[in-house]
Amino acid sequence: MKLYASGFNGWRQLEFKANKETNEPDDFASFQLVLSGSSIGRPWSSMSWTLVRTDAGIQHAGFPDEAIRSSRLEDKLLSSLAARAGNGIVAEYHTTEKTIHQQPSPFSLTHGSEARVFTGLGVIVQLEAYETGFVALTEDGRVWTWGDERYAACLGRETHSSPAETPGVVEELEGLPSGKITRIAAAGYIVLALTEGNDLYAWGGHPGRRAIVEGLSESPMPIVVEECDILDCSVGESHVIVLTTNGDAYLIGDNTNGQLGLPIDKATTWMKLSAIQEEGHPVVAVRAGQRSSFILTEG
Amino acid sequence: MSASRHRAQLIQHCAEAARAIRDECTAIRSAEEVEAVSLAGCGHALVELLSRQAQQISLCYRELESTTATANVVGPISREKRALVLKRLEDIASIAYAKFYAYLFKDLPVCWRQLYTDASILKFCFVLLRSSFLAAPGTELEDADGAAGRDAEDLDALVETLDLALILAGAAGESRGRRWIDKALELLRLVWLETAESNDSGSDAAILGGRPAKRVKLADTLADNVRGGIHHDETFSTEEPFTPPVKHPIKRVEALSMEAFQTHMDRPQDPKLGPEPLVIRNALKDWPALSTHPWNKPSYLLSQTFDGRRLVPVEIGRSYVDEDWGQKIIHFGEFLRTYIDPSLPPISLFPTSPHLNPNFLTDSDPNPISDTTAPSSSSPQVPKQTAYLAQHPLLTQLPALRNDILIPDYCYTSPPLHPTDPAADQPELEAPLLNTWFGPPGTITPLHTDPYHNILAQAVGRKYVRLYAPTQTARMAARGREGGVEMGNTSRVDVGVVEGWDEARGGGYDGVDEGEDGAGDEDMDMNMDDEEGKMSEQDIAAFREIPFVDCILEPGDALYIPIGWWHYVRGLSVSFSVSFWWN
Repeated sequence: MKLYASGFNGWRQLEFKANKETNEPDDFASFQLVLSGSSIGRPWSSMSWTLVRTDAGIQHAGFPDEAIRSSRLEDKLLSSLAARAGNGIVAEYHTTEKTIHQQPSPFSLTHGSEARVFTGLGVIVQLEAYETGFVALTEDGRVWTWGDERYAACLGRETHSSPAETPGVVEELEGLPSGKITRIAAAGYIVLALTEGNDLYAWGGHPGRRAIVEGLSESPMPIVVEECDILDCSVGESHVIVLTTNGDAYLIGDNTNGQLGLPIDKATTWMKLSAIQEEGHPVVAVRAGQRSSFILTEG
Repeated sequence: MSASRHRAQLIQHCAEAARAIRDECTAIRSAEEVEAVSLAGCGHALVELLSRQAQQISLCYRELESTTATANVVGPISREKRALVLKRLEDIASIAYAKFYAYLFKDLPVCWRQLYTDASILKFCFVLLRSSFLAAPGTELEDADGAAGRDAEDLDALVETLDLALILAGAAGESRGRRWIDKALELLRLVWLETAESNDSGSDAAILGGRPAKRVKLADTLADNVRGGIHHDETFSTEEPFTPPVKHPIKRVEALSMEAFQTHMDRPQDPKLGPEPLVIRNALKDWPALSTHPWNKPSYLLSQTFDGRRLVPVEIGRSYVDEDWGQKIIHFGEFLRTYIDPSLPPISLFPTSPHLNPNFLTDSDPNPISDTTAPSSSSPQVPKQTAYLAQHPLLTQLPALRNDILIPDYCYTSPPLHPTDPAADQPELEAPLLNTWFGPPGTITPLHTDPYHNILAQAVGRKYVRLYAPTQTARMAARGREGGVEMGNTSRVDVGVVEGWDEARGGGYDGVDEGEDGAGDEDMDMNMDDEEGKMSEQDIAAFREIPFVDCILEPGDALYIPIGWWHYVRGLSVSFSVSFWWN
């Protein structure tokens, strides 16, 4: 398998090979091969650090995140069973107890933001964070959201019966025509959910900012990418990457650090990435870092 | 002579900052424990990235200091490396900026504001290195071709960088922060003025470096009677499109002594209500802002703002409770010409929209104001929207203007506590809180109440103010929590609509379904008449029955607003006020 990456590289967080160079590292403006091996998982990345599980163990690149290292969360982050929001809050799923434990930001001044435990959400198979909150997916396809009420659109639900700060179900995702939700993604101020039938839904937005995907609101809406069925999706701070069932990767959003891997300033419509396909190996997964993108291919 | 002295001081100021940032980062990285103080709270990765940029900039300054004045000011750094340093500083600033939104402001760890500030300081130092201001006499810049507009462009970039740190990040940081930025801007101003003067006289051809276009440009700027195309005698328009009637005039007195004012507060007519509002005439007679440093003259305000280059945050829209309301950061000169007084002659000395890096202001403005970007048009522009420089500590941002006012003695008295709600009382302030309010006719501050006593001093133009006593709070239809933001100090009632002065707009009783954004109906004191949320005839009639007092403030007046009094403020002409909160 091969892992390609593009985007922010200020700490060499896209370079897995040891590098003796002392020059200031520049960003990757296009997708470059960064790792090969017989087995490579989906990477996880913070702003400065990238982790990826391979047959040779967890590989990492960039500047290690001291808070994550000291809390030994690497495994859970790579398995999408722990996540950290932009406001520093960390949520972690405890598989045996079926509980979500939330720790406040270490340097937050809020007096009322003590650790919290959420129960009764069911069996969580995926836990993701956006800038000010969290999204959790259960094994039976139910999506829970919670976070800062100021950005209520990212919750995708009303906040009357269930307060913003505690998990509530995104009811509009129940009983969709193409089946239950099988995958979620979140970052910045946008949340994605993918159905069994390969339909993509999105909600969120930051008041006063142009949405990355046109029409984004507090209500989940279907995202159409060239009429294609969607196999995989991921979100960065201000860009989105999806993989279609045809094996094509499409990107949209900001390209300030080369996270789109394309020679453009930004993309306001979906841009197809053709460079990787030319290598001849099918793309099996896509993943966005905060300001980077990763593409995983077979062979 | 003095120009080169100030230039040397500015270089030294920057060299010290770059070195200090580098050294602080090194110290943080070698410390065992990570503390929340200083930059450490941002994590070692960002500290290291900042440190690398500081190191490169520090090396450039060392090079500059060690070479003779005739050396190339570009320093030992290639064009590509230079671009990367700037990009990384913008990356760091944008990462910090994202945190300003991710956290509630009161919870934001100060390290993020310092990180933004230090990245901005480094950017300033780095841009300065290549700017024409550092060009020693006789020096040819690397790309002297485009030198004609270089001064203006460099100045724009330098001023913008530091103003954004002041406005967005509050210039945080113990060892540099606001103190460093204020000094840098003052030195820059001196270098700029002296460079311009010597160009103006034409006596110092060496400094011109063979760039006559610059001479014309700056000479225009500083000609005796004209600044930015505005004659120095010109004052703001006093036009007043609408004047509401004063129905229950507030007591007016001539400037009174501190003791007499203390007595006014101590011996209220109604002891339960506490002291009542008071208009104090001629309260500002010692303010330079009303005499030698006239705030009603655009030319004076421009002279204090790098010819209008300083940035200010303004509120765009009629009132902060309206749906289409937003905030924007614009050049002070653009604010004056486009919004405050469109009758001022337009001029394109500097770009009318800041060339802000999108990373520094990722909030693309909610109301793109395309009609402000046509400086070439010679006809006066009519602003489509109201812009209000409201509740901004402008006098902290522009220390020169701070010297034009005096804190009224009344703010050094001992005022009583809140008459009805002890929970509203705040810890004692060390010094009065100053805010400025500068806008065109028609600005509106909706009916609200503040947790401090207030002296509202009217420096320029006229304002209408209406006040309701704290004992009427139950009838003020206070808002609740709206979208995660506490709005309980603001009324749902639009006084202008109730009185028939304005048409109904969204945001309060009219037009917005409050049920959708988390505002609980239980907080409301009045019932909505229909789904549209319009205030019923009955509600309007009931609200009109509530007793109030009102006044029109003239230049030189000060209005005492006791703690807890609800107030509605409406600019009638171009109006510039300063509020002093104290307790």
